[in-house]
Amino acid sequence: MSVIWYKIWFDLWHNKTRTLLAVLSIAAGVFAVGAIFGMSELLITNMNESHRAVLPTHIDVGLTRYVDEDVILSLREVPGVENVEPYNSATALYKLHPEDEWRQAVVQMRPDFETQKYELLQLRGGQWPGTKNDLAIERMAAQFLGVEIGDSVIFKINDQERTLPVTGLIRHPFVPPPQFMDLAFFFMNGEGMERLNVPEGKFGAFYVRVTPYSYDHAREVASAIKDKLAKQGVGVGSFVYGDPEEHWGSSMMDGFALVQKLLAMICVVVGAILIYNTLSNLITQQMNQIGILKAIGGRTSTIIGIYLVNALVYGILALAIALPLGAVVATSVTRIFLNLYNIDYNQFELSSQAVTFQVISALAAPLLAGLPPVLHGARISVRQAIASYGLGGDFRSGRLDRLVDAFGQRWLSTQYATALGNMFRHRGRLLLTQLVLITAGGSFLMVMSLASSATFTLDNLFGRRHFDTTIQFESIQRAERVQALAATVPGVDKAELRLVQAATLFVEGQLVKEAGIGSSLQGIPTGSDFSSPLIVAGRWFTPGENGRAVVITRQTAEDNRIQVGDTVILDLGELGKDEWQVVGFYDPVFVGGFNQDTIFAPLEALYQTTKKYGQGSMLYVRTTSHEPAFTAEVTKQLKEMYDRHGLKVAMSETQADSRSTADWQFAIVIWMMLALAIIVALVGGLALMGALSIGVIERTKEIGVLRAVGARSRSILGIFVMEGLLQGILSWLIAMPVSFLASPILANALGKAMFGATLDYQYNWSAVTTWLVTVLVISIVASILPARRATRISVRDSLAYA
Amino acid sequence: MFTIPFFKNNDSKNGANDHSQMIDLRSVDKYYQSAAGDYHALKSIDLCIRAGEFVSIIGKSGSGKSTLLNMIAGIDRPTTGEVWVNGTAVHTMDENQMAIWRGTNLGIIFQFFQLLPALNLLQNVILPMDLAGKYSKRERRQRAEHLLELVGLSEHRHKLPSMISGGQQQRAAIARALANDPPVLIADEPTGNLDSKTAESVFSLFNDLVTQGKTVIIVTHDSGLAKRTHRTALIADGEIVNEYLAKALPTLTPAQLLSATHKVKARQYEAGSMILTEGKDNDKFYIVSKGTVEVVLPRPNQSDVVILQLGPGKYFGEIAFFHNSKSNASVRASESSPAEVLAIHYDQLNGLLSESEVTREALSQAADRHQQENTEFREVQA
Repeated sequence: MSVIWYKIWFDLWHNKTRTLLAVLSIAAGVFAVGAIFGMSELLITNMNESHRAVLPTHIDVGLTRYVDEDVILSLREVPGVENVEPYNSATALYKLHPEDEWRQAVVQMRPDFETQKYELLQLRGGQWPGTKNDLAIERMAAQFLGVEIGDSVIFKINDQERTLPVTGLIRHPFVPPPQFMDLAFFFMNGEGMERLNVPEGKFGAFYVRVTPYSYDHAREVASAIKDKLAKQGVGVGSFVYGDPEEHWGSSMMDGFALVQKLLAMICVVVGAILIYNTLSNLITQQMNQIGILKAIGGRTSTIIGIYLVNALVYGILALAIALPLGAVVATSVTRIFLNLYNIDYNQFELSSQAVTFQVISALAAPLLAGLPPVLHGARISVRQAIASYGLGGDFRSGRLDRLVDAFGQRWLSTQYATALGNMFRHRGRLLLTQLVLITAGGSFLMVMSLASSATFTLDNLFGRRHFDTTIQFESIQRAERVQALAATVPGVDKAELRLVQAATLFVEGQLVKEAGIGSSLQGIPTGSDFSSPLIVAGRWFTPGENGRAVVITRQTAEDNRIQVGDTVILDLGELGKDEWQVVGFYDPVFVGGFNQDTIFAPLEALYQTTKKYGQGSMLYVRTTSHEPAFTAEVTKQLKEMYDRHGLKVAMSETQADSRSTADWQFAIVIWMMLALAIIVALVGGLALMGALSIGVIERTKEIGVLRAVGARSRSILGIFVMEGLLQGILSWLIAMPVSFLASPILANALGKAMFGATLDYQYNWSAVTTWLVTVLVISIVASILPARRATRISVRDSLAYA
Repeated sequence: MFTIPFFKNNDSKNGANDHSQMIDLRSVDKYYQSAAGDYHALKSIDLCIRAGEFVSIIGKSGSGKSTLLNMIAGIDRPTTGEVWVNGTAVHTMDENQMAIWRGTNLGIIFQFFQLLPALNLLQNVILPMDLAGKYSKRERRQRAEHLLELVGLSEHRHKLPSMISGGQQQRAAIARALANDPPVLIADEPTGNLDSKTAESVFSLFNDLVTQGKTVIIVTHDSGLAKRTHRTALIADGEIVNEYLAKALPTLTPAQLLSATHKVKARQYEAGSMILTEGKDNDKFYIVSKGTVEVVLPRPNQSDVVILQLGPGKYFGEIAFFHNSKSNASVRASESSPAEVLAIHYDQLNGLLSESEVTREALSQAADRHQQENTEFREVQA
């Protein structure tokens, strides 16, 4: 069969444009599969491996006061405790240069950096803090701030500035990315921490691992630890639970990756449709040759083999391009995300999952897509194959055809009516081309609607917040004093200090939610106009309400079958337990990750329960102007003012910063989805070009006849360009209602899967116009080449075509 | 004349002297369905072609000649009827079986040459051998080179079809058709796209192949070429006109010949049996279709003398028609073999001739001539 192989090679080599288009269309999808699947596997695998490598704590316990190390070490006797490791964490203000603004920092210490047990810090340069003047910096912060070993950092300690040299670079496994939060982490030894009012030899937090580990057992042990400490008069401020196997960010990445994988598969399918068109094109073009091959003894299986080998070659070439490219992008994107999570990743590795899927999609997709046209071509009879093509006659006389014909004759000139009729000639091909274009249009509109929904959600969320900045104090302060001091700062319109208390929620005696970073009880003045969460059931507090009423998240209510009106028990640690009535559910919009899951209560009720009348730690401030620069300046002045008055600020955040962080989180995902939608759109253009090219070949004789009766190049060009435009417009008309119906479902699913958010839906009407313009451009560009080819067909050649 | 040493000697199986049938179409009908309704392309076609014959199929555009050829080649299938080629029931095969059978049993030459544009001439000729799996790889190349040399294209063997002339392409196509040494060659308008000189060279090739024992069937619209073949099958409106009618009355139009075909009745006569008796009334015009008939006149000593032998395509009975007389000679089947004649009643003949004055005139002149010859002979005898 050597001569046949030569024909296959010739067909591939001498029509480079077609080969290139086919290869690129498959390569686009295979690349997307490789990049996305690869990134997903490498990311999750490396995240979890890195997580396990640092011996993550099962429980991170925060105490309400500093205690002796022995108190903490005695907890080893609690049944189920594998071991404990005390540590300290304090907030501080720092700057790099004297002229800089003060910035927030967290300073941590371990009793002995060299013999850590859990949440292992890793020395990446220099030395561990060994003396009181040694200062190590977290390496992500160092990178973000441009700080190196040997540089100096100025700390504000007791109203004085103290400059310390950076002597070490440390990797901390659990720090928020600097892009998310401007909060640098530093490390000192016990002596050094004394300057920050942390008593030497005493600790305010510790890590615990339980054995055997399970979700429930960890909570049981936590309860036992709390009880034991309570007997010693030590209160627990917070419990933070960790999964020993899975990195805390992996579930979010899973949701994100799932959506991307779906889009990657869509790319493959769209590419496969293009292969279908390309092979249909090729077989149509070579129908005559197929007839000859059969006439001189070629079997059906030989014909099938020839063209499937063609398809296979497209796939192999596509794989050759997409495999390395996908691997490079997968590794690069993985590196970016892992670096965000403070995980080192400097190797190049192939994801076996990605390679497998790429090989399957690169080979199977073109073979499967090519099978129908190849089988159709191979099974055609010699007579049909050799018969002259080109003079139509295949325009059916069904109802749709008559309708199209009537419409064209009534509203369009002859040549454009021809274009309209041509479009409906081959319904199968029309359907496939439309499928690709509608997929592209639908994807684009849905992604844009997702973007507009995200923006709308954030607008609504921030719109419900009638404050401009928040300041969290390190310890509880008197509200009267704090609010009075705030009033002295120009630009402050109103300030409100709220009490926040760690709480454990019980339903009918069952532990629902241990106190931790995701659960706190916040007292809100019932007449407050600073913020009102989105109430989805029940009610918010009424003005003057001071009974024990709480508003919880909808998720907590659903997970634990709590109804409005039910009674729950809130355990406030050393402050005791009390019954509270659930009066409403709210939707926090964003859950998980670094977000709060707060239980709201009337401030007066919380005062009565905690006996901390007129106190609080969380200050909400509304400024006279809401411009970001203005609020940032007012926040700075407030912090400086409180610092002068000895009120230590732990952290602050303007709403503008909060909004930009939220925007940034959405933007990454939406841009990635948009990139995939653009790939689908480009492949859609290629599909249209392929379909129109087939049309030119099939109507070669017709074009010759048109020429013979006087049609100018412009007219012939116009027929095909108009057909392309009509295809584009038709796809746009269908994509609109499809995306309108599917977008709310997608926005809801994606919001929950990727952000844990319940998005407020908003269809992006302006994107409809954008897509119309885009698809018209794609249609024109896609139709120009085949249209020009049509104008170059001579009468002699076309009428001799056989 | 080209010699083709490595073709099988077809004489041993179906040689030129072997009258066995190579191609046999029996009551073949073909209908095509279209948006305009059913079209009856071939109507009850019966056609026998013997091994080693060179047959032309001639007819106007749309008469069905290419459809007929497609039936023989297995490119198309009859709606009803049977098609036998070299003992194989082609009409029972599916597409795949036909393709395989065609590869080794038929060589097809198309009007537009139909060489694969991606392959050079040598590769085009090798291709059928590759597809059939016949001959070893080395043999295939050797055969291909020989065949191209045979058709005078040796120095162009590495060229693509686009680089050579139409005539050269057609010769290359002939070489390809001969690749697997098929017993039958079919050519659809092989000279249709060629100038007269090239057409002549191609036609010569066909003649040479016939002398080597190949059965060759060509479709042509060129009556001049058709006359140079052993037989011509005239097809009109999907029906084959009786070839002997066409030979006997060449001035009738195809439609008229077709009408006459419907009217004639074939009659078989044993060897030596009388068809016409001198002096008796005769109301039919006869055309010889098989065998030989003898025109006999009585000698004075009452024995008969054969004055004329008429073979297929010759006619008698025209004198009585034009001169309105009894038969002026006796006609009998040859004593050595039976004969078949086509008979048409004088009334029907009259109807035919009324539509073709040219034919009437030609027949009338022939009648006069034959009458004159008859009279002269009798005078000599006397």
